[in-house]
Amino acid sequence: MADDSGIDPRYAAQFQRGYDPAVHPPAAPTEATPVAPGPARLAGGPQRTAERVPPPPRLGEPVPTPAPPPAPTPEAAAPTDDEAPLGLRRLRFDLVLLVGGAVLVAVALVLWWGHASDQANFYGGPVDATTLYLQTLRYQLAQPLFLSGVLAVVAGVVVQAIRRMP
Amino acid sequence: MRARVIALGAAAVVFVALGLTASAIATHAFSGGWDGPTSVLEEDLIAWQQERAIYLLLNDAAGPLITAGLYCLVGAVLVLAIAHLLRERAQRASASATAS
Repeated sequence: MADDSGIDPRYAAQFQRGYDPAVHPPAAPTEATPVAPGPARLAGGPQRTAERVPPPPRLGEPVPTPAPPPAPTPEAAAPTDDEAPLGLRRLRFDLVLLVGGAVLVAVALVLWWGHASDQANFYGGPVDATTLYLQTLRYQLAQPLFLSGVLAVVAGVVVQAIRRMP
Repeated sequence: MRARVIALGAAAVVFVALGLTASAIATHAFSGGWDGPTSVLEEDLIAWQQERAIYLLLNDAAGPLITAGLYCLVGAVLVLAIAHLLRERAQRASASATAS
C-alpha cells in the first residue's frame, strides 16, 4: 500500500518513516473537529446576577482543640509493665542463661564427683545426721542441677539465635 | 509479663524449698529418727507401712521437686530474655523508622 517513498497514504504521513514535508502534504483531518464555542455577547446587556448571600451567624466561639501530645521517644517513654521488667532493662538475659546454665552443669559435675569419690558411701555411713543429710542432698541435687543447666544453656542458645535473625 | 516472671520465681522458690524439706524429712527418718513397728499387731504394721510409704514418697519426690523449681527459674529468666529481645527489636524498628 505504500508509495515509492515508503509512505502509506492511509495514515498520516508525518508520523511515518521517510516523511518529507516538501513532498508530502500533511494529512487532512478525517473528521471535522467541532469548533469550541467562544464567548458571545448577548443582546440586552449582562443578565442580572443573584444577590450575595451573607454568611450565616456564628452559633458559638470555636473551641480550641488541644494540641496532640508529642510522641514519646523510646528513651523518654514511661516504663510500663512490659518494658521495664523488674528494673533489669540493661541485663543480657541470654548471656545470663548461658553462663548460669554452665555454672549449674559445673556444680552438678562437682557434686557427682564428690559423691562418687566419697569413700564413706562404700566403707561405712556417717553417724552425724547433718552429714548424712548433706550427702543425700549432694546425691539428689546433682541431677536437677545438671538438667536445669542443660535446659538453660539450650534456652540461651535459642534466644541468641533468634536475636541474630534479621 | 512481670506478673508471670514473679509467679515463676515464686514457684521456683516454693518447689526448691519443698524439695529440700522433703529430702531433710526423709533423710532424718531413714537415718534413725524413725523407729520400726512398735508391735507385730496388724494395725501397728499397717501404720508403720503407711509411715514408711510417706517417707519413701518424700525421698523420691525431693529430686523432682527441686528439678521443677529450677525449671521454673530457668523459665523466668527465659521470659525476661524474650522480653528483652522483643524490646530491642522494637527500639531498632522505631529507630530505623525515624531515620527513614
